[in-house]
Amino acid sequence: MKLTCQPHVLSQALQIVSRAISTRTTLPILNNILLETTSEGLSLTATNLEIGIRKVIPAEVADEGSTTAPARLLTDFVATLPEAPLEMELDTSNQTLSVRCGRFDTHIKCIEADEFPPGPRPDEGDRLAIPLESLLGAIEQTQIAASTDEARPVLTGELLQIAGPRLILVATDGHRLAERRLTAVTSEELEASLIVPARALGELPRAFRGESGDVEVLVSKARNQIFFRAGTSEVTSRLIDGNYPNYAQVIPSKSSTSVRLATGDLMQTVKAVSLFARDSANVIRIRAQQGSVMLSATTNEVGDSRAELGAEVDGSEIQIAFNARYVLDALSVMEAEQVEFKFDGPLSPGLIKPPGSDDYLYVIMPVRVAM
Amino acid sequence: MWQTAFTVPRSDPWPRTILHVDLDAFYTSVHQRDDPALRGKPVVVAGRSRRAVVMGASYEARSHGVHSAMPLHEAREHCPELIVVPPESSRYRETSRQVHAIFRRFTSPEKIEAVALDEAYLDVTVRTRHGTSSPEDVARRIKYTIHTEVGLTASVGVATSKLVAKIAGASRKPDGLVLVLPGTEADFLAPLPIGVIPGLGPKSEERLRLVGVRSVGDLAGQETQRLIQVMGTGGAVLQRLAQGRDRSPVDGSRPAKTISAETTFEYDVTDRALLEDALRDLVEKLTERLRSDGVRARTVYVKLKLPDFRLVSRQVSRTSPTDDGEAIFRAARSALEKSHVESRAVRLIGVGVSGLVHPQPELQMTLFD
Repeated sequence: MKLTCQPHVLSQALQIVSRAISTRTTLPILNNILLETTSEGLSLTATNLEIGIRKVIPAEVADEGSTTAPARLLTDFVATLPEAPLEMELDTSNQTLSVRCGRFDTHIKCIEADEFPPGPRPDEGDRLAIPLESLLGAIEQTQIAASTDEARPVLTGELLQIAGPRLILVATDGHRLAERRLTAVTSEELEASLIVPARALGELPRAFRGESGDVEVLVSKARNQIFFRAGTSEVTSRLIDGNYPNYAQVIPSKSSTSVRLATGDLMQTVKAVSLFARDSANVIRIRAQQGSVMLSATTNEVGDSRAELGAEVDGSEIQIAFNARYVLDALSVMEAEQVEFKFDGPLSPGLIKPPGSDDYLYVIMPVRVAM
Repeated sequence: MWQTAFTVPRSDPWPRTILHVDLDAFYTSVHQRDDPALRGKPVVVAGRSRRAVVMGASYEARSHGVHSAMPLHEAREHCPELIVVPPESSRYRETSRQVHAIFRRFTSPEKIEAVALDEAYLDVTVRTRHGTSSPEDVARRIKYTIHTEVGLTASVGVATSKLVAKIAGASRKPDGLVLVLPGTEADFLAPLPIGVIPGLGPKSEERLRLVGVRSVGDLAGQETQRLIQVMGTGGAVLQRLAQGRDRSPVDGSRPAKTISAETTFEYDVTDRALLEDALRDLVEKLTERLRSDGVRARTVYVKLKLPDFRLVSRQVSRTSPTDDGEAIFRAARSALEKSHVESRAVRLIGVGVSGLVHPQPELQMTLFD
């Protein structure tokens, strides 16, 4: 193997690919990145057997070949290199990779490429294409609600429901839920319900930075793996096995109060007031009455704060309390200038959405407090 | 005889009066109290399995080199005439309750922080503030009452902080009473080895030793910036402790830090299903404790002891605290999956919960359950 590439391009790719390396692995080879020459240049692959990330960067290949190099070392080293052509050459007799760049002449001990486990990379399955921007947007808007609680593995994933071209992406941690609808290019018949690890979806924005067009998605026939490709970047992931909760039944279908506010003002106000919501439930109280919304928070040892905002309020007056973080998470991914809240009493779930659209919904369970 | 030490004649007022009360050789003392035949004898509390481990040893047994956590067969080698009694947890809890009832005569419940069944901190500042009783008085009366009403001896440390009270109490056992007067904390701590400071593990100790820090006094006197270089920002915290500056409050509302249960297998177990069965039994016991203490747990950990006595432990944290047996079992099972390599033999399995909280009056409601 012998090739020449640009250190800063290689460095960026290494940093992205390395994110698939787990810090505590039982298989030493998984600490390495697979380097392979391809017709397009140099391919870099890392995996922890659950998630795999692959990127191809432009390179002038003189001799074809492959090996695996220690990820941490290679990534840290390449990041320090000067902007000069970087030449890589593998001595196959002892699996030593020479890296020459500017004033550096370095030799890195590698492990044979055939030791590297084949990643979860389905060759055949059901295909669909999703516009990159809309997929990344949907991930950003839903992943905030996914759980990190490993005791309930299903909730650490996002539900991807495919019904022909209509896709629904859902995440919930049991306290709040986010649902985003989007459109894909796929065959009419394809129907599937998949649980994709939120951590894998979270890698897509990073891995696909700089790419454009559509994301090609491939779902294995056995429905146990999913594969995303945009341009020369790929992310593969194992799917989570299990039954996703019947989430549709918790989305409120009626409301007794509906409130419309300016998203930016509300977010700034919640941020400020919630500094006084320090207890573990992080409670912010909302009181909606004709023409205005009052936000308040109190922590005994800290103090209290309240703020009043002008708002369009329809329906009955209400007092309700939420974990401020859950509200802020929703507001931070709300693209519309205005935001609509729908309430149906202080102990029923609240709904947050952009007005006039049902493409995005965010449901929060309230905190029960003594009002 | 009670021993009083380090009563340097100097009388700054007591900004806080904190007692650390530790019942001496608690488990075996309960048995010796109830069964005269055991008094003055080397006694240990241990299970009946061929692999039982010493849970508690009387002072007579300790003088033969027996200590808790020692395998029973090894303890017998140290002391052939050893008397082994099976544990009776309900009796220990009952005794602990009696002792706590005595504590409550001296201060209010929120000023009593239980660390374990046999160990607690008491903030008795209200009794000493106006000079109605001296800190030493209060400590003596607590010791006397425990001795006459419960029949056990306790070692008590009295100081202006939890840290110093605990170290003082541990310095004269059994039946000790050690007062560290206000203003003398740093002098009291200075000659002690740094290991007495809680939270200082063997690794940190080694790192400090390399820069010439051996005693608490060395630590207190080090240049702070240098400590931060060696230990990170935690170094500054340790130094404050070493100077006897500990402001942490006695918090009676804080539940015990962890609750755990474990079992040593008669013969090593390799089968995952059997391990899960054992886990289920342990979780059941644990859940009972959680319920009776009225607390919920956020973190569940599983501990495995391998045949070579190596310990493997993994934990799983939940987003919301729970006391639901099934939820705890699910978390424990995924911690087991992370810690147990299929078909590897296991000698002991333990499960514990931490991150314990009293249920909030403010309750985050859930979508699905």
